[in-house]
Amino acid sequence: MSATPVVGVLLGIALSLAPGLPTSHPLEPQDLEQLIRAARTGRPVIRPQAARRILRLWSQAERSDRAGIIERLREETGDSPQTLALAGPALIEVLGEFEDENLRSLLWRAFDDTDFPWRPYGARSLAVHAKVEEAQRFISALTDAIAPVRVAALTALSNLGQAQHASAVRPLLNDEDGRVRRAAANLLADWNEPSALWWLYEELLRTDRFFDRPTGEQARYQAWSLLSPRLVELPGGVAHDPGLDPVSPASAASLAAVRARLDELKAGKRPEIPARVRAGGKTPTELLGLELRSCRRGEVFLRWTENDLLLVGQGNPAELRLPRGSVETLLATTSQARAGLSDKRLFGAPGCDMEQFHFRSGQTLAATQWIVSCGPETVPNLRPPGLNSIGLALLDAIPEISTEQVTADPRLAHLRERTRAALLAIGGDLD
Amino acid sequence: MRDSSLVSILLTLVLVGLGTSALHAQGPGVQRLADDEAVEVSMAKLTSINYRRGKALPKEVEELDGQLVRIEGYMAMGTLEGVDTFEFVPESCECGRSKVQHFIDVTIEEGVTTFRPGRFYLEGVLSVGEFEEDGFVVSLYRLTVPTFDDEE
Repeated sequence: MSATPVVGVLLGIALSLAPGLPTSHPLEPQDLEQLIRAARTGRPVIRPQAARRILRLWSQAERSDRAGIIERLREETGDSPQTLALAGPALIEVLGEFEDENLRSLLWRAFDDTDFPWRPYGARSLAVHAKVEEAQRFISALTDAIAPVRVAALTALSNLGQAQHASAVRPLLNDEDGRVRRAAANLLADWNEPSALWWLYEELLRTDRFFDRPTGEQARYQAWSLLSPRLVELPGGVAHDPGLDPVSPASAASLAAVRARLDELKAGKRPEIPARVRAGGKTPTELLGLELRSCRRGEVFLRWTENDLLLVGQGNPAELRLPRGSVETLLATTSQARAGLSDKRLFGAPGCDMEQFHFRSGQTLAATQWIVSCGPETVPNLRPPGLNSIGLALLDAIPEISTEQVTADPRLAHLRERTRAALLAIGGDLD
Repeated sequence: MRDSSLVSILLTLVLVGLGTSALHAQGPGVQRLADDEAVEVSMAKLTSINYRRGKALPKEVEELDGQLVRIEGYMAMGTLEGVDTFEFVPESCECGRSKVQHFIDVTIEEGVTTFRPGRFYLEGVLSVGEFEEDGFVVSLYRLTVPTFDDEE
């Protein structure tokens, strides 16, 4: 017996065990159907991969098959933002890459609808193949209420490669959201503004937390993943570890090396960065908190501290001084409602909308959370009565804010109204 | 004779390859260190890598494969009660969970889940590397923990 057929068989076995959908055989209708189903309803981790595989099938297909795929996607996504929403975020996130005017137009209509639940996904989809004639729409999106939409708009401008829009991007270096600040700094550095790298450096200094969550450490890692490829190597072969406390001796030495490297990269003198976006540090003990993440109304982060401050935002939060004893009163007001919530800690189902009520009894104790969550569909009576009453008490505990205070820190603008709107959008009416 | 030798070599190579895959597919926590001192690992470090399918992971992350580690994070909100697996995530929201580098697939050896909303530590053996099902990468990090205590 000749070895050749055996080798062929063995090779066949080996290839058949190789992972991945076959790319060599002609596109079969069932492949597309399976992938659409996986992208819509598969495990969350496979949905984006299935969606990208549809894109790959399309890009490798013959012209006639390509038209068939587009037709099937149009059928799947319908002709309105409402029908598009049903396709789910994974499919929406790739639709803009199919070079189809109808799908792109539908994405823009959905993007313009602030009630569309998957706007960040739609915005990212549109950003990949941003068109010159769309530049102004993306510039307008730089002030969108949803931070990931602002990030997507920056990606779009980056892909357009139009550095003349730098003046529209610069204000985002001081955005309230760290993801936006980092994306803006990265883009401006791409556009030959190395001074923007100082904003990434500033993120390396963060040690802030939001209750038990190490928001500062997360920011340090994310900033370092953008900054380190630009620095290539630090003077003296020093290594920087974003996991170390920035005030540790090891970090002091490596951060000095980062500064020296920024100097070599002509980043200039370290700029005066506004206080609100400077590295946040330790905060007073947080006793109550409200964390709201609405896919339609944006995010609100509030904390009431043991020394009667209301902290607004993450990182380096805005501080509102409350009358002495008001947080203790708030704790007393809400104690009965908290006791009545028993052991149940999650209400609703996981989704893009989430309210989180945080409570801590003392400095050394871990916080306790109650979570209200739902997907894009409104769920009546989602928030239990106990949390309704706590939500109302927390809303009432937001003080009047003067115009001067808002001018000094835009995070304070319409704070009570924004908080109420987010609560309404997620858990429904508080009354 | 030469043909049969060639066949033997190829068969051995393929079987070794298959065996290695099968061992890998057994997945998490197959190796324990003699030294049971856990290495403290930051969830932010694992989840902030620039991952691309098939691309080598950072050396310092790959070196954690098979190590006894201690990691702090949150139980993913979609976790079912009474099962022996769950996703361990850096934030207690649905933000970004669909990316394969943004969660750790946890397997409980003895016991089952009860939903826990706060931040907590897990200690177990970490397995690092792409793990595929039906051609999709379903996890990059897997952690096997001996038990899951529902007391906070």
